[in-house]
Amino acid sequence: MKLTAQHLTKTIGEKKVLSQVEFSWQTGEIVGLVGRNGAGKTTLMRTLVDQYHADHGQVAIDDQDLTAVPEARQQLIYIDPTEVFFARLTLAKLGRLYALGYPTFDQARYRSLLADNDLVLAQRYGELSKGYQALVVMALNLASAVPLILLDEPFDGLDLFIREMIVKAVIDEVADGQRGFLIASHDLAELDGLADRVLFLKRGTISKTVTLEAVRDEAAKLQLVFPAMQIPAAVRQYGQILNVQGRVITALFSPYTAAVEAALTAEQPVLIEKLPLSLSDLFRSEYAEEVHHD
Amino acid sequence: MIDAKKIVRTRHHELLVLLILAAGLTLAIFGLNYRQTFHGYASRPTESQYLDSQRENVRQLRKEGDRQAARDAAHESYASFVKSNYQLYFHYGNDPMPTDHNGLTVNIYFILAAYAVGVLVAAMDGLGGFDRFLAGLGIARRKLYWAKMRVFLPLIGGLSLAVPGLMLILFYLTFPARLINLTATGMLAILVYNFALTVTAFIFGHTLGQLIGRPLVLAVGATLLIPLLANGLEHATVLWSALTHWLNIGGSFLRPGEAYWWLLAGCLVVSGGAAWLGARLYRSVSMERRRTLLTAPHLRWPLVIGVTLLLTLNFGTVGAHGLQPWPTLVWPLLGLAVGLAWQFWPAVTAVTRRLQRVD
Amino acid sequence: MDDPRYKTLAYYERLVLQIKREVVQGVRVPGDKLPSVRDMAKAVQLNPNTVAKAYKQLEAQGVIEVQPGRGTFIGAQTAATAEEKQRVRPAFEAAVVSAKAAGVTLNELQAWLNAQFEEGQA
Repeated sequence: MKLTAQHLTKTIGEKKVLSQVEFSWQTGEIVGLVGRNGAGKTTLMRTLVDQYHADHGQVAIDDQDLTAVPEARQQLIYIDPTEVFFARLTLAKLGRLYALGYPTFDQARYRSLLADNDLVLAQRYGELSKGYQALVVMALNLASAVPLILLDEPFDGLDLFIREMIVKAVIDEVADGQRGFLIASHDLAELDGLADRVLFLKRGTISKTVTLEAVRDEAAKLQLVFPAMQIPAAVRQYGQILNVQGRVITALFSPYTAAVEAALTAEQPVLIEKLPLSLSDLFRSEYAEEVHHD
Repeated sequence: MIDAKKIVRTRHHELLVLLILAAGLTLAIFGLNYRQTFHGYASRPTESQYLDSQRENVRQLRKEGDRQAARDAAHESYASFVKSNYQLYFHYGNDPMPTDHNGLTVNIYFILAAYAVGVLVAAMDGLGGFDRFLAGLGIARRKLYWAKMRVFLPLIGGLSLAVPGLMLILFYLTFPARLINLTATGMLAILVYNFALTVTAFIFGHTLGQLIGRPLVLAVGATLLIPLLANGLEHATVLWSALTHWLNIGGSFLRPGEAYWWLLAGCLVVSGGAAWLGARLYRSVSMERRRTLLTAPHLRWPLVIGVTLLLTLNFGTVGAHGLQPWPTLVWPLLGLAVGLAWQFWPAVTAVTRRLQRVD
Repeated sequence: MDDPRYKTLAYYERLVLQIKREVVQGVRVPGDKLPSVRDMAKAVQLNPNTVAKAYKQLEAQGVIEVQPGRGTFIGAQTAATAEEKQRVRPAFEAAVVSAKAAGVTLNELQAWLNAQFEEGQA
């Protein structure tokens, strides 16, 4: 099952939040969605599930345009953690409502997921702490048995054990190839190991798609020290400077080929050291110009 | 297959029960009123007591020299005395629906309850996020709207018939039929009227709730609309009868009189129009607009015109001394000014923009 | 997996190295059954595709073998082929060059080598 979004554009108020967003995502994949605060991650998810009507563009699941065939949207689920209508409902009633809305909902699984975490069906959602609310949302998502699941900041405010549990659950679902996840998160460390691909949302569009394992194969983050205080041309030409402290330059070289290595060594560095390359580095390089430098 | 009606019913379970309780409450109110009437009838003076007191009365009037009054007093028989004091309905002129004396014609409480519930359902679903849940289920929005209507309207319509219906049954079981004084068409007129007004009130309230996204503005506006519409209708019927002579006299919601058919037609138009608009709005309003002042910006001028018309009708056209031409002109001009200010004047648009919490 | 020496490597490479180390240290012996891709992924909190890639590389290098229907097992560790040794040599030489450039003496290098080979012997 594959979801494709093309030319998605959405203006909210006076701001063009989404502008020609294009991407695809299918079952068996964990795709990360990152961006700065207010970049439009939540707007994108709300547009995919037709809470917001896109100004332009289409979303299709298995080539079925969702505006023409609304039923195809039943393959997609998004529970917006900030806009819940069910704060005053008990977990039991919540399960019943979702079971009515999603025919494949597995009530037994929902209940056992709640029971595993000592949640009682008679509790009201709004009375739970933030972490447990996130768990309930996760339980609803998993029990729904819907192929394509959107998660919005699922790790936000969760303790280590609940977080690991959720990661395990996501891995479990994806391993069969029957489910796909699109995870919007600020937790870059978590996405690093979990996501197959990461979409970078910048200025309303997907500015970059990164397959992390491939990037680590071909790119390198280096710490360099040169004799002179100036930054050599080779560094600026082949790399993206992430940080400069005194004489120590931290830069990202993508791709890091033998030619690039040669060019750098030609500048006679005092020190070249390879540093771990993480999603945070890629994030920093992508949004570099949006940050004030000292 | 997803059963949209069942979802709505599960979600609004409490509201539906509330409606039934409201109907029950109005039934209790009318029941208690009837009990008083019945008690009054049961303890009415007997024929001989009446005749005795009548004779006393006539003698008194003759002594005072008022011979005409004495003659009138002597004329009223016991039967007509009973009828004029205790009958439940009476027929006035050409009115299709009988006027209530001690009986029930218009269940105004339940009509207002239906109106309130209509507003509440739209507000809860739109502002509370339930509509967002429904939007993601993969059901066409048009079908969702009609599922909601098909959950509430049958219950509301049914209850609007049940209360007067049950009262009528109560009357016929306990009261002498000639004193109930109701024809078959009269009965039908009462039931149809209640049904039409209650259903229209719900749909109208619901569409209003869809149109206005700020809860406070909605609450105040919806409340103010009640006296404005009631009073406006009275003035409208007076104007209509003055201008067209198709009506002899004005009417109101509670006492439509000869305006009965006009009101029924009006209900048809309003409920049809509001339902059509409601379906359109539900389909086309994107949820980020749901908490703005006016969820459909291109309805701004129609709204201004509508409110101006209503205010003109209330304060402009008919006054203490009958039709008044000058205030009739002032109000539309005021409305035009407000509309233009809303559209163009930066200070006003800035305020409304702040009221537009678009998310 | 969190070994600081492996921080520059891709996740799948880390997993490959970790399993290889476990074999060298004797934590996993030939014939031991490896967790399924899914279970390994859950244990190390990684994307199953990452784990699958690691398993594939291990299989290509002969460290593990997949027996259809029965699972994945640590293979008999035959003597490394000359080919394998040739593959590793350039990386070794590069590391030595860097160490020399950093001023590491031959004695220090030897000490480091001894430490590596002693690691599994406890």
